[in-house]
Formats: sequence, C-alpha cells, structure tokens
Amino acid sequence: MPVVTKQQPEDEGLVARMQSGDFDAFEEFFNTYKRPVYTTALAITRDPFLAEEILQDCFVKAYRVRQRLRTDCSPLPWLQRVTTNLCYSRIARRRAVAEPLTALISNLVADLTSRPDQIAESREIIEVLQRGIDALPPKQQTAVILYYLHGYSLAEAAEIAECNVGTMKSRLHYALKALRALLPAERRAPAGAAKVSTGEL
Amino acid sequence: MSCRRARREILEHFRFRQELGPSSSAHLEHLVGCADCREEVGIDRALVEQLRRALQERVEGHAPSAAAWDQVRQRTIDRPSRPLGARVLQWGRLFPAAIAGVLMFAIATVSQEGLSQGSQSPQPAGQVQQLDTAAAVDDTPDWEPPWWMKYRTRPPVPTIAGGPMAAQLPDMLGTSADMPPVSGRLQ
Repeated sequence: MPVVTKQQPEDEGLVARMQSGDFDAFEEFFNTYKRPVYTTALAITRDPFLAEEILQDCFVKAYRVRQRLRTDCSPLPWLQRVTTNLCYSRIARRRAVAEPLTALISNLVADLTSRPDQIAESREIIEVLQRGIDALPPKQQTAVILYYLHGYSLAEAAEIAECNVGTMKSRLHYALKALRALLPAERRAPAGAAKVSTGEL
Repeated sequence: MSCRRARREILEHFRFRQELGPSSSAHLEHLVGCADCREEVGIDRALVEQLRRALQERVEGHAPSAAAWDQVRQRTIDRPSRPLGARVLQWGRLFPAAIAGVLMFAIATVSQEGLSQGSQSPQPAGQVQQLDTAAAVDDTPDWEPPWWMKYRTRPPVPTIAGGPMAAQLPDMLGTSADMPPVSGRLQ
C-alpha cells in the first residue's frame, strides 16, 4: 500500500478549502484518508467497532482544528499520529485486564510441539505473532504497523512517530527480536524457508 | 568477516529494504560459506513475512462502514454551533460552587483573624489600672483555654530561685552573694 507523506496532487488545496469553510472539501478529505486511518486503528485495536469510533473521533478532531492544519504538506502523518494516540488511550484499560501473554504462548507452543512440521506455517504461528504484536510496547507496535503493514518508509514512519530514523530502526529491531523470542526455535520459520539462498543476494 | 557482523548487517539490509551494494560482496561470500548465518537470515526473513501476514490478517475484509461519514458529518458540519448564551449557561452551572468556595474561604479567614485578635487582646496600661479588680474577678467566668490552645502556650520557664543550685550560682557566675535571686524570664 503506497503511502506518502509528501503533498499529493489530490491533496492540493484540500485543507485550504476546508479552512475556508468548504464542506465538500471536508467530505473529500474524509474519503481520501479514511482508509489508512481505519487500517491503523483496526491493526492496533483488532476491534472493527472500536476502530470505526476512533476513525470518527479522528476526523471530528481534524475538523475542529482544521484552521491549524498545515497546507504545505500531507495531513496524513498528523492523522496517523492522532489515530495511534486515540487507540492507545482507548485500549489502555483493556490491556490492563488482558490475559497474561506467557500463558497463552505456553499453550500454543505446547500444541505446536505435538504436531508435525508441515504446520509450522499454520494458524498457530500467526496467532502467536498476533498475540506478540498485541503485547509489544505501544511505540514498537506503532512502528511495526506503520512500517510492515502500511509500508511507510523509515523516514515517513519516523515522521509520524515523531522520532528520528535511528530510533525507528531501533524500535523495529527490538520488536522483531521480541516477536522472534516468542516462537519456539524449531517453529521460527516455515519449513523450507529457513535458509536463504545465496542467489537471492 | 565475523558471523556476528555479517548477520547484523545483512539482517538490517533485509529488514529495512536496503539495497545490497558492491560493499556487500563480503557478506555474500560469508553467507556462501556459513550455513548457520544462512539459516539465521532465512529465519529472520520468514519472521518478517509471517509478521506481514499477521498484520494483513488484522485488517483484511474490513472497511469503514458507509455510515461513518454520516456520523462524522453529524458531529461536525451538521452540529449547530451553540449560541453564546448556551455556553455562558454551561459555565454558569459552576457559579453556585464558586460562590460557596469563596464564602467558605471568607469565613475561615475572618474566624482565624478573630481568634488571633482575641488571644492577643492588647489594651492600654492605664485602662487596666482603672478596672475594679474585685469586680473583674467576680465577673470573669471560669475560663479555660480550649484543648488546642493548651498545646500552643509557651512552656513555663524553669525557675532556679530557691532550687538546689541557687546557693552555688553566685560562685559559678563569679558575682557577689548580694545578687538578687534569679527568677522569671530572661530578657
């Protein structure tokens, strides 16, 4: 999903028109950016209803502060920032009562070890990763979603997360390290994909 | 090239979609000859692929509902701007609480000042001399300070007049024995 934070042709004048009171411009603004905002909210919350609430809250906020939005660059980084903040403020309480991750992982790993190798790439592995993503610290989780789901570049993800590129790299590194540690050694890679061929280099 | 360095740099290339340039020939040579590093890099690549799948599964098949825009519109464009009177009225709900707070502060301040004035009771000396002592004594009720004032009064100054050290005091101070007994507060 190509996402860029630089001004796109369709962005030109959109925020300015909103600021001048053009209601159609706000609808266009909503339709242009609803998808990435909703995707981020859904990836973090995993709850379609909550994600839609956050989507609405994000655009209501954008409308209220439209006079302060910059017109010389894409509003998407700002929208993504607001979205992640809304998500983590909403799910803070749910995290506190979440089931301990270690127990879940232990159960899944116990099941996995009793099954043949061909299911290494199965639902259980993905489920372990899903739980692992949920358990990541918010900053690492945001980095993973921005970089690996949205496909932002390091610079763009860093801009959204309001950090420098080195920090973004560090967050991604620690996130992958944490996710990899959750998987049992023999299940860290699907069968046949564990070795990189030198030809790919 | 060590395995540690090769893994770190190659993993960074793969993770961050960086191009392998001519300077990567050393990495390539290392990978060709090191099965452990090939496996390590392969595992990491597989993890990233699985991570992408896991993330994609979170959002697949979902989209904002058609009613989302209507909801946003109702909360923004269609929302009637509240007149000034309504906003004043909203803040006006806090007015009784504000008045109560001011009153409580005023009462507390006045009572504190009254207490402090009553305990000092400065009066001119002449006026005190004109009072009829007996009548004053008769009219004065048996007043006892409240419990909280007992702890605020100054503790009594110990008197050494007539005490066991009284006779030795002149010698200790190097003064004559005619010195009047020391008593009362020190100036």
